Amino acid sequence: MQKSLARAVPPLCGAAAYLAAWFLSTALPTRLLWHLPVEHRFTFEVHPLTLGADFYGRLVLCLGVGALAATAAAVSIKLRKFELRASWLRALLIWTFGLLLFTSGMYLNILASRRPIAAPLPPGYVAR
Amino acid sequence: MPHVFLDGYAKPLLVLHALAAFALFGACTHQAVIGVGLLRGRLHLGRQARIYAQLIGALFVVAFGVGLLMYPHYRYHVRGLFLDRYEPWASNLFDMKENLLALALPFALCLFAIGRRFDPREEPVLIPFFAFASLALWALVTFGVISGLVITSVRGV
Repeated sequence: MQKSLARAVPPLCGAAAYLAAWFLSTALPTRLLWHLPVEHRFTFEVHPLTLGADFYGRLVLCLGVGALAATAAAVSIKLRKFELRASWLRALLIWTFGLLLFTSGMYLNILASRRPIAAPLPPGYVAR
Repeated sequence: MPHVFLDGYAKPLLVLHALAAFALFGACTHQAVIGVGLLRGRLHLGRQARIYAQLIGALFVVAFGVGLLMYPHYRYHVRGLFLDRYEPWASNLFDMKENLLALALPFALCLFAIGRRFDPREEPVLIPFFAFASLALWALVTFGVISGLVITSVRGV
């Protein structure tokens, strides 16, 4: 059982950390890497004044946090700093699914009532 | 009209994105059924569970990666110029889909990492993880596929 737990705990730690980072970076004003598609460049700020996408920046941040957490868990287990228990896996599962539900709920709540701001129309633009 | 990254490839990328998403939806449905079966004690489903775990990992990365490639075009031409102005509900629905599927990414990666060597007879402790991850992934991908179809019916590229 120790071998199975040692295989499952690090990725689950990574998943929980990824979800926590996604939640916190949305709930708190966080400086992120923004892609400005019309200007063909990236910028690092909380919210640019022009049309931009924070999706890439948030994804890189959360993947980084998740990878760090998974690596830290794997290294700790390898160094035998603690013995794994099945109850830890259950707790991690509950935390991971709780974070998924909480973060999904937050997004559904924010986006259900959002009023998006359209980009200025270029000269001669005709909507199809 | 301003030029955006991969503007000329938006249509083929959208078709590829949709094909990968449909295949992913099929694989996730199989995996969810297998997950429920494992919870109910059908431990002979280990081989199928391993196959679909690998397939889901690969298909998720392909569908997600192609989506990332076509995102700049969508952000300006589809959302910025059209959806935000004329169909704001579709713009909001897309952002729900985008974020919910980003939240599904760690589950697909976990399922791949753990599921590809998963043996339910030897590792019964992992069955609840496997079942819950499969069901969560199925629910999120189903939402993504249906909302993707609805948004594309409003404006695709």
